[in-house]
Order: sequence, then C-alpha cells, then structure tokens
Amino acid sequence: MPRSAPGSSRPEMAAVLLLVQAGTWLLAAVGALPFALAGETTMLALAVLTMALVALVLLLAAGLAGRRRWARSWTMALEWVCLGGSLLLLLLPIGTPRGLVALMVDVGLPAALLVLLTGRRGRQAFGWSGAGRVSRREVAPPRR
Amino acid sequence: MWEITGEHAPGLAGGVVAALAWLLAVRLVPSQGCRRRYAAAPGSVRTAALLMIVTAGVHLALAPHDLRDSPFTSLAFVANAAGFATVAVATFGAWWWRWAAAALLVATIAAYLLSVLIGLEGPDQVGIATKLVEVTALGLALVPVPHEPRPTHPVLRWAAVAAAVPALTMLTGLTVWGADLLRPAAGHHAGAVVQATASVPTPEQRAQADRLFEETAAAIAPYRDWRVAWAAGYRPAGPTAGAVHWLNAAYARGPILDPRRPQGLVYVRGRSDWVLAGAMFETPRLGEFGPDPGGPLTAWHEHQDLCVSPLGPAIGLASPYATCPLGAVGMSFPAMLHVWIVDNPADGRFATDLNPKTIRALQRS
Repeated sequence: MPRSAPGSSRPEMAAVLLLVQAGTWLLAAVGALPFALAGETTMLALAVLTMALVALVLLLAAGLAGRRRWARSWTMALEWVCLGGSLLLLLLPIGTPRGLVALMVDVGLPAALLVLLTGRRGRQAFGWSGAGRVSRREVAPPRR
Repeated sequence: MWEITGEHAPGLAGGVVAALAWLLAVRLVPSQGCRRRYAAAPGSVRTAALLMIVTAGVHLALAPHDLRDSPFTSLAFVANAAGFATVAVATFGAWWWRWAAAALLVATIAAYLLSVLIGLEGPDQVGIATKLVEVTALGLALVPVPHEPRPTHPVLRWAAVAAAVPALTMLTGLTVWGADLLRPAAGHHAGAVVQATASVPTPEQRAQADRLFEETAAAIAPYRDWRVAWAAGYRPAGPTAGAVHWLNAAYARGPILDPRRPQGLVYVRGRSDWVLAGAMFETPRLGEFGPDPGGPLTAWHEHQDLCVSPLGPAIGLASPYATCPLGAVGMSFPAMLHVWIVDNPADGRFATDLNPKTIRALQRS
C-alpha cells in the first residue's frame, strides 16, 4: 500500500474532524435508544445502523491517519453525500434545524473535510502528484 | 438549546472578530522570525492556534455581561481568554504549548459542563458551538504530524486524540441534552416550543376553555369506536408505541380549532382494543399558532427539531448537534393543541403530552 508522507498535515486534520463527526453521530444513535426502549423498534434499527456508520467512520479516520488512499476516497464519498443531503434538507420546507450548531455540523464539517482532502494538496498528501499517481520512489527515501 | 441567548450573542461576534484579528496579526507581525515560524508550522498547529483564539474571543466578549452580578465569573472569562491567547502565541516557539493547550481546553470544557449541570448556565447555540471548536482544537493540538521540530510521544498522543475527541464530543452533547430536558428554557417543554401567553387566565378564558373541552369531548365521542374514526378517514401515523396519533388528511388544511373536525385523534392501545384519549388540532403551516380562546389554558405547542424516519413509523429527538440517526431526518411539525378527554391529572386537559402514568393506566385497561 502506498504510504507516502509529504509534509502536509491534512490527513491528520481530516482524521480529527472525522472523530468529531463520529462523536456527533454516536450521540444521535445513543439518543435514539430511549425511544427504542419505549417500543419504537424502527428507532432501534436506526440506532444500530448509526453505530455501524460510526464504526466505519472510525475506520476511515484510522485510514486517513495512516495516509491510505482508500480512506481518502471513501471519506470524500461519504462527505459529499452528507453535504448534499444536508443542503437538500435545508432547502426543503420541513423545518430542518438551521441553527449555528446545525450549520457547523451538517455543512461546515463535511465542507472542511472536503477542502482538506480534495484539490492538488489534498491528493499530494496521499502520494498523488498533480498529473497522477506518485511512485513510492518519488515520495519515500530509498531503502538501504 | 436551539437559540442564541441575548447574553451570549456578543460571544459569537467576539469569536469572529478575534479570528479575523489573529489572521491579520500573523501576517503583519513585525518580526521576520515569527512570520517564518508561523509559515513553517504544520496546518494542524496553525488551525489549533486559530481555534483557541476564537475561544479566547468568545470568552472575552462574554466577560462584561457578568461584571456587575458575578465578577468572579467575569474574571474567570478574562483569565481563560488570556490563557488561550498565550498558548496560541506559544504554538510557534515554545515546547510546552501542546500539553498546556490540552490542559486548558479540557479544563474549559469541564467548567462549562459543570456550570450547565448545576444550572449556572443554560445551554445555547453559542455555548455548544464553542465546545465543538474547543474539542476540535484539542484534537489538532495533540495530533502528531510529520516533520514536527520536536516529535514527542506520537503513540500516546494518537491514543489521547482517538479517545478524547469522540468522548468529549459525546459527553458535552449528553450533558447539554440532559440539562435541557430537565430544565427546559422558558417557553419550551420536552422538545416543543409553547405559545407565549399571559401567565394567569381570565374568567372569560376559563369559560372559553371549558366550552372548547366540552364541545370537543362531545364531538369525538363516536370515535371511541376506532372503526367509526377509520370510516371518517382517520389513520394511524407516526410512532406506534404509547399515545398514537391518528390523522385525517381531509382536515390537514383546515378548519383550525373546529371541535367537529379535529386534524387528529389520539388513541392508546389497551389490552383488547384502542382507547380514545383525546383530539389534536393542528395548524396548516409551520411557525403559526392557532386561535387561543383559553389563554394560558389552551396554549399551542410546536414540536421542533424532531428526528423522523421515512423508513418506518419512528420519531425521536434531534441531538444538541442537530444530528439524527442514520435513516431519519430532522424536521419540525406545525403547531398543535391537544384536548385530553381521559383523566390526565398531572398535566391537565390541554397538556402538551399525555402523562406516562395515564398512558400506562390506559394500556392496562
């Protein structure tokens, strides 16, 4: 697996933001449990589903910390879905939360993660050059 | 929890101003050495410093509010702001800044949670947002990055980040949530915003409330047999546990507060059959309360920030971070007014909710 490590700290920053995001989702899962205990079985299913998502996000954070390219790709896909979904809900007239914290968590966090991971510097942090994939020799010192 | 309180609004402005001032200052600082050190610092370090400055700005802007009533709190805010500013400046030279930042951030978060727990402070959007900023700053301060000038304890630091960041995010959310449910802000009741009214009803309002109750109870009496309600167009909607709302789509757009045509009926599943507990009136649009003939006795309420799943009949509360479980979306419902025809002694005939004891009694019937 390519594990190039140019000087950028973007992967580590993205890992920290993913941990914050995981914490906010874990709270949503825990918050669903009282309703599940009150007899709403659908809420139990959703809580379990959310905990599985949190586990996936923690795996992605570990992958980003290790500068794995698959982690970058999957994180970007996840964050595009989150950002698109949040913006769609904000546009619909259903009274979705629009407060400062909602905007930070639902829009700010995914947007910040995408800024960190996309673009030339985002790619370079994971060992891709502007033109394409960087070979291990370009980014890692030769073994002696 | 979902609003920005008047006393915290200056904190929001303080955070923004502090961030802008910091970004300007690091470019205009006269010392070339300082500018070079800032430019050479990893992005995580520069961002951690910026977030600490934001926190410093928020706390500094909050200090004047408490100056008269609680000078100690005011002094603590100023000291905290000075501490964060010092650590932010130290990030580009001092060896000790990471551990100082971690200690100050954890202490600040702990102090906030304690003050929310004991009721010194009500949670609001500025408070929760600032805690998210501080948790993120903590993670960025501790996370090891490549090419650090003095790399120390990378494994320990990763372990601290992986444990502290999600744990503090959770702990902050749980504390704020618990405090908000136990001590709801004025005009709020367990996730609902209650219509503002006078605190004491007039004799005329009492009479009007009595009349609304009697007319509604008489009009919905035939629906004690759920088959009659079904034939009239009422269908179960939402959660199937506890008090189950049956809605009639034909009345969704009105009329408002017509006892003969309520938008919904509320049933509880008894041992053998559905038991009619009351009626629900609802307005057609979000953000509008209906007519209030009984003053404080018949105040409407609007359920905001609920988690609703299109995958099945399920409703929960959105977390303080406005997050819902996967598969549910955050939304609000138009204002509603319940009329309970069963004995609801703890909360009354027009209460926001049916008392859990009443529900259990009906379920046993």
